[in-house]
Amino acid sequence: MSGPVGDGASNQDVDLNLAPIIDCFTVLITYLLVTASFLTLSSVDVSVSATGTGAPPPESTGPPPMTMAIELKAGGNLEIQIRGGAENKKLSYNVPGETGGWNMALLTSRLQEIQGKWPAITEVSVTAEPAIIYKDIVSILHEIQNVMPKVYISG
Amino acid sequence: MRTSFIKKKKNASTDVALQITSMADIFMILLVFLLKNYATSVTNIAPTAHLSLPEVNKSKGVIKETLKVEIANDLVMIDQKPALALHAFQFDPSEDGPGGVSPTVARVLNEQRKLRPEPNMDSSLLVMADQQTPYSTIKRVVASAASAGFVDLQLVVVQGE
Repeated sequence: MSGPVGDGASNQDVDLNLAPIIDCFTVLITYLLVTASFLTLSSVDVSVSATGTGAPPPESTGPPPMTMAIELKAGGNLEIQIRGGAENKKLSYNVPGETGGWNMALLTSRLQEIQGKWPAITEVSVTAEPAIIYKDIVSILHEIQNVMPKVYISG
Repeated sequence: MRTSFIKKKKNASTDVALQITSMADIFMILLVFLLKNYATSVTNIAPTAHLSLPEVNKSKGVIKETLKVEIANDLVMIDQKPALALHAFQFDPSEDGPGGVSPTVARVLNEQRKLRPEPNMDSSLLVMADQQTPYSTIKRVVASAASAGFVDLQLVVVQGE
């Protein structure tokens, strides 16, 4: 690359040396390509439920609050337990797994039914059998959060 | 003088002009793209241990930079430093503390908590675990985190399509 420099009386051609620029670009681009991460990371936000150690709660005169707990079991089965309320309910629903994994559609529909029946339930506590892998737990947590955003994981 | 009918080969020009202007244009565009990608990516959140994160479709959670715990096949890392060795995701029997808490993990988390800018306000923890991690291991780490005051967990996942 070159261009004239100066006024019309004394033009001088100046050669622009691109070789060092290309060298810098090559090194910089190589570094950025090696360090770039093309994965999009996101998060599933959960809270830790209390494990029960500490001062007992003060005695309350009203009915116990309604709570919902979901347990992940082997074989893709889920058990939904509902406790509390005015009649001190103890209900249990099973969400059987389908071949190859969890039945997300049935889980979502069950949660929507429960939410419609008992709007007071706004939180879910999730536990699992020890052998259930993290990938399945996160998938279930994400699916639950689509219906009930507040999810606790038992610690 | 007789004109020679043998045509002499002219010396071929050996100068080859390398067109690097277009290469500079391509490099410039590539550089701008990579710098933009580098600036907007959360580079500190990239996992350091050899673990594969689970994939979740249409996950909406936004990662907030906070203390990071990584759970791999052979170790637990806290703030990018090894905290505890594992054996195929299993804790050593000596790490079985009261309430399912791992004493070592709880101690390191407590130490890290004191180093945070707002130790009493920050209860958030970033958890990056291998997708094959069993719930028993996750439960122990979660219990240890809760004992150290970290009750809000961000479970990092790869966003699927």
